[in-house]
Amino acid sequence: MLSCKEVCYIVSESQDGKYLPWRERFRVRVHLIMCKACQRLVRQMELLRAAVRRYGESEEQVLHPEQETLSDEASARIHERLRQAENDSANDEPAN
Amino acid sequence: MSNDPQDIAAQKPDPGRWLQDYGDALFRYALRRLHNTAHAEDVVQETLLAAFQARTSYSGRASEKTWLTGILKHKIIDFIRKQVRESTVDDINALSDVAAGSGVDDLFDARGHWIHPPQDWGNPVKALHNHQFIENFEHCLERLKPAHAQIFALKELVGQSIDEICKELGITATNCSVILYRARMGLRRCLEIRWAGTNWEERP
Repeated sequence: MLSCKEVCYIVSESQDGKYLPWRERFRVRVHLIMCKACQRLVRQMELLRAAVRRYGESEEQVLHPEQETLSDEASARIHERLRQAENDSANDEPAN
Repeated sequence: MSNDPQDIAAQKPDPGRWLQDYGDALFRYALRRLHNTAHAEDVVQETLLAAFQARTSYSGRASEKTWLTGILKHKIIDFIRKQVRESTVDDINALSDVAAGSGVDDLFDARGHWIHPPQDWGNPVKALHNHQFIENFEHCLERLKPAHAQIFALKELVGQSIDEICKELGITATNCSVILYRARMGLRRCLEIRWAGTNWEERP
């Protein structure tokens, strides 16, 4: 029988998108039927994955809006750099 | 020249306007994957410069924002690749050593059974919308070891496959899986400790 530690690793591998042979899936299932702790582990890992996806995709600034916008200094710096690039390309064009 | 934004957009690509319209969204996207303000600012700048250089290749089929986000994704992948490559092979081996400590294996006894069995976190749908949970989740994500966090971000936030990650970083598939395992277990453990016996859904 698989140990809890092995089940954890296999659950993580399945989240990697790795194909698991039916024999391995079967052994995980048998373990889960008997192990409440690993059932919880699976639910936690599913929740974490959903939370990561939501975190990556959500457009709204949920918790710390002030930390998730470009600072004025950074904006000014990037703006200046872009203006340089525009000037460079404008200077290049007549030569082409 | 007209001042109407639509007209300007139709006339020529304007990096200054991209910065104004999409700068914050691009920055937020980068920050959530790199967890570092200076690095996120750098990739946003690189993205807008690259977009300006490639302006003639913009077909107008995708929205400007989608087009810019696509460029940003590549810049983030490049950035993480560079960072991971700069760490030595020894570091990668240490990071992916499944037997090494760092809070994963002290969870199990010698026979691989839980010493601290996972707790019940309650209703996952409620947890996902619970500010306390989200706050703790973000805190824990930021506390992962940088290399773990970066490779985890490539997989789960940039959407790269294991094969792509291994190839680009020059590490084996097994190392990659072990690093992701450690990242997930580290995140889980951190949340479990901060959860400390209270149901997420019961918190305000």
